[in-house]
Amino acid sequence: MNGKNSVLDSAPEYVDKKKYFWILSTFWPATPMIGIWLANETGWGIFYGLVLAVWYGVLPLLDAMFGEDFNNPPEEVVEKLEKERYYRVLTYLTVPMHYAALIVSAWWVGTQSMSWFEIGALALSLGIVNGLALNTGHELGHKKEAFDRWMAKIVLAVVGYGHFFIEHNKGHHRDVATPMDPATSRMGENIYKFSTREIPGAFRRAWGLEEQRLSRRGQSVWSFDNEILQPMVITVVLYTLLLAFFGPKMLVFLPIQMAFGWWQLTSANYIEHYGLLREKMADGRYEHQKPHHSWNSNHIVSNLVLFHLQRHSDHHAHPTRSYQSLRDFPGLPALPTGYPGAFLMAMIPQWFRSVMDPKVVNWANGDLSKIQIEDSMRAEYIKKFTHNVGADDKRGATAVAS
Amino acid sequence: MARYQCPDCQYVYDESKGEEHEGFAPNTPWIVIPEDWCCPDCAVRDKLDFVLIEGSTGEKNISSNNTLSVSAKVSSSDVNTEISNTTMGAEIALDVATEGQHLNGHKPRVTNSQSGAAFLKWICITCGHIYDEALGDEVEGFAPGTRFEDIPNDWCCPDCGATKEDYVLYQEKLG
Repeated sequence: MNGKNSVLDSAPEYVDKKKYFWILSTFWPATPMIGIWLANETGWGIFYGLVLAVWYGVLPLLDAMFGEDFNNPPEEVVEKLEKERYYRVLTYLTVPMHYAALIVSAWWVGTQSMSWFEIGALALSLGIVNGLALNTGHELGHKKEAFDRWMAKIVLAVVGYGHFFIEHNKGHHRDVATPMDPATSRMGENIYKFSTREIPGAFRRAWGLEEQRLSRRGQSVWSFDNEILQPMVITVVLYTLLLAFFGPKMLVFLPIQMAFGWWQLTSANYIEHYGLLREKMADGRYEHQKPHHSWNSNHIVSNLVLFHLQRHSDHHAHPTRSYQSLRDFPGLPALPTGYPGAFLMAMIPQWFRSVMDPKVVNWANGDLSKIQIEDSMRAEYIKKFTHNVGADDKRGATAVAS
Repeated sequence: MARYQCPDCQYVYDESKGEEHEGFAPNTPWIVIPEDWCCPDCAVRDKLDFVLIEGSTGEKNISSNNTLSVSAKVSSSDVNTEISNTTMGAEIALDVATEGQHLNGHKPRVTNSQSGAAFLKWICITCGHIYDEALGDEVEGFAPGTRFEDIPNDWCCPDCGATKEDYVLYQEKLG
């Protein structure tokens, strides 16, 4: 172990090349406001849909152009990197961005004359970035400090998904890649069906966990210490104020942006663990959450607007690591593109399955018993993937080797 | 009073402090914490994964009179848990007995701090995996009591693939 020390002493100063690019994650939620400004300047209503075009169109292209980044910070600097305030401050600054985007958009819709098509485009644009309030809340909610956790609740309230704080950290992370998890999709399950299992299932699990915790403290679930109710109160107050100030159009505008925000989370959950399954050990417990139980993506551009969320494998194995320290590992199951492109693919089930199913089977080395499969699809998959096992295996072997 | 640590995120459960947020009052002994309770910070390790870092499981001596001595087998060797024979005590004893059985099924994660002073624990700096000499690693083929120095140099961390060189003495980190 002496060798370790000398390595430490002589290690050259590590420079985080992405350091200042993380600002993109902070400013990305402001994009709907840029869209409004452009629409106002040019008179072209199409700009209200700016975020939609950038998210589903430009970002996947940029991911394809700029490709992947496999760099990891050396382990010796991680402790220092984790402590650097700068990174944390960026996540705090993102919180008011989400509020600004919501309030400015609502104000614009409430006070300007816009066609219903334009209102719809702006609602969907806002839905995307405020779906990413879930991403900001995600990064903050995993931290150990009380302040960060409160910031998480506050930002999750923007999109009315406060229960994510409990559901994700204590539910999804515990149960991920097992049949108990409503937020892990099965191979062959399309995203639309998945959403009907995931959205209510996630809420039920969160509520149950919070009920359990509060009962241990001798409190009712209807206490104000309920960490699902706390952000919910913020949401109700915020949305009521928007309605009061900006009028009845909010009754249409707010639900659309909120639903589309939730849809972003559903999309993320859908692609993050598609088909993956942790093995059950002899004692009935599931093996630990390891990096290969999540689909990873090293695509640099989309990672930079998502606080490294796509380095999901390391995140699930070690949830309290900060975004700037997340690592890639060799041999991880990898998405063919970043999240924006993968979300788009997910909405076209045939497309998504044709790309991802062979990858899942490959991941399991052709053993279908090691995959979570949608029941109604099982027969079809057995026929498809055991029929020409030889060919698939060979292709799998070369893919792994390369 | 004993302290238990999450091997993934280093969260520490301290019996004397309890964990109010989770509903465990100060002085809540480890053995009454539900078995399916998971780490409140990272949630990817649960009670059975936690590692004893200070004190011992046998420290919970509530009274010396009228005690019920339970050979709990919670630790890797013979730590006796003595609990007063109140109704609560009996309940705890039952919990301990079942937990003991359960733990025997898979590797117990609690090390002996009384007689096994010579056994050390090593932590992978890359992922936090802990190799405990007292327990060995059944899956990796190291019998309980296998010293870290006796592990082949080309052995890799079973969780993340880091090399043996990436392990450091765990006790050091606690100091």
